[in-house]
Amino acid sequence: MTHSFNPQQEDVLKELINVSFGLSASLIGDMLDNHAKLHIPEISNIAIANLDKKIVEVLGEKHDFYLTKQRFLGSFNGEVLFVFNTFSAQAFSNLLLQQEVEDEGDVKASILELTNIITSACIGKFCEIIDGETIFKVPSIEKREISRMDEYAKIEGYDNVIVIKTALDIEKENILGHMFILLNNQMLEQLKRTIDKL
Amino acid sequence: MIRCNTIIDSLNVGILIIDEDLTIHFANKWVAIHANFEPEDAIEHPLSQFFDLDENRLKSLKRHIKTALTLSSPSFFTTDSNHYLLPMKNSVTTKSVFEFMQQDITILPYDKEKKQVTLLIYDQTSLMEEKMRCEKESEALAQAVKVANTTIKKLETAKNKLIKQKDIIYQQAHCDHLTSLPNRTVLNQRLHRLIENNLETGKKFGVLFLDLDNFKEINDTLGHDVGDMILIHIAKTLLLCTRKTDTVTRFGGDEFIILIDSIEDEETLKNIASKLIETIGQPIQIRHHHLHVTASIGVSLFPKHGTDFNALIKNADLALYLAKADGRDTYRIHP
Repeated sequence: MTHSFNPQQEDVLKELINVSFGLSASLIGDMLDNHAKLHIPEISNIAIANLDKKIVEVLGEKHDFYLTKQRFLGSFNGEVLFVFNTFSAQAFSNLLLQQEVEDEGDVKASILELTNIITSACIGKFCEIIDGETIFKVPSIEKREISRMDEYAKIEGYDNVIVIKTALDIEKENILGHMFILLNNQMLEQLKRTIDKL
Repeated sequence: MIRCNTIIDSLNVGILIIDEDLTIHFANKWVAIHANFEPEDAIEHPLSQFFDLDENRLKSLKRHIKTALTLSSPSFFTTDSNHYLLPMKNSVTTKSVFEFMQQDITILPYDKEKKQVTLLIYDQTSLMEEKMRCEKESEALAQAVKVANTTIKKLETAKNKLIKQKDIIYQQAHCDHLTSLPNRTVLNQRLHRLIENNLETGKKFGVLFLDLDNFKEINDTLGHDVGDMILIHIAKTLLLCTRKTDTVTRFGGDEFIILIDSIEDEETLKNIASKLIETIGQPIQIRHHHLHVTASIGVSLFPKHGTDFNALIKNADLALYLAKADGRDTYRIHP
């Protein structure tokens, strides 16, 4: 069952994410010695069963992509996934390391730095508003192929996915990624109740 | 009272406290042993004094520290992407592919005012060794599967080719190339089988020997290509006018032999022969020629006119001779 946000809740959620995006953009800008702008996020909510379909949809074309995963545990718990197509991942890595990056390990490390910032800022903000506590597990990153989606192990233990489009403008580059916050029904309800009180 | 220092020094995790300028403020025993220094000697000394960090690693570490302090949240170096941050000699005693210890490092804010962070260092070398071994094995396995699949494909192609060739050889050996009707070899086999079966059961069957009338003239006047088309047309007609259980064969030239199985009496054979004569005699158009082709048929009946191959064929041929002598375009039963 998918618990969609009503328009008011969506506005508040967007505002919260926007604040954390502002903080993230400032840090990312510092990292790159450049001005970085994270666009106002586009948010949607889907059932976990539709996650793979959504990933394929946001990537658009049939090519490789990078997937990061990070669990957060505590009174507010769930998992954050990030999806970047190889072009965006490569572009960000080139900007961060100020050179044409060829080593895949360097690309992965760059993406993890980026997602670490956005995840910490967003989940930190959610934790703050629901007065919860969380600890982050070590993230992981892997390169995947859209054509082999059926072969990858499915993520279990969640009911809902908040999908957040993250478009980052740095110099002339547009780095496009998608953030997926996986929550069970209880966590989502708790988040919605808190949002309603704000 | 918990003795934290004892616990910290007995942990199998490296703990290092540094500030944003990369000055060391604490190192537990694990770090000191792996980096080969005394913990107290490192205090207030720069990290670079004990670890040879290249420029990229230095920059990256500073960024991670800033992220942790700004967001009050952990920041991570992972083995998967970075392999290691602080070069420490690999302590694995067996032969290793890694020169340095593979590390997962979590950077936690420790003192925000003093801009200090804690580095938790986990040795993931064994795990990475295992992972690499697994990856190597899966690559080898994938390669083996690929080779096997290619071989299977080649074998399948060869098998299909053989089946096709077998079919072609069978066709060539058993079918007439012009009309695609069974040839004399098949006639021989089927007639022998029919005799064998019907000798036991006592059932009757008929042999119809059909010959086109004046076919040589058609060939001579209209050409062999028209003659061939007539033969194809006759073959189709014979198949249409008989049952699937009957055997229609091309005996040679313009001669066809039809085996009619399971008949009650001579009347049935007469009806069939009459129907064939009538149908063949219908006007046909081949190319621009309106033709009227006729045929004569001689009939022999098993077991009345013979109980072996030669007798049945010979007697049907004799009956055919009678039909021809009686003006053609008709059939005769062996007397």
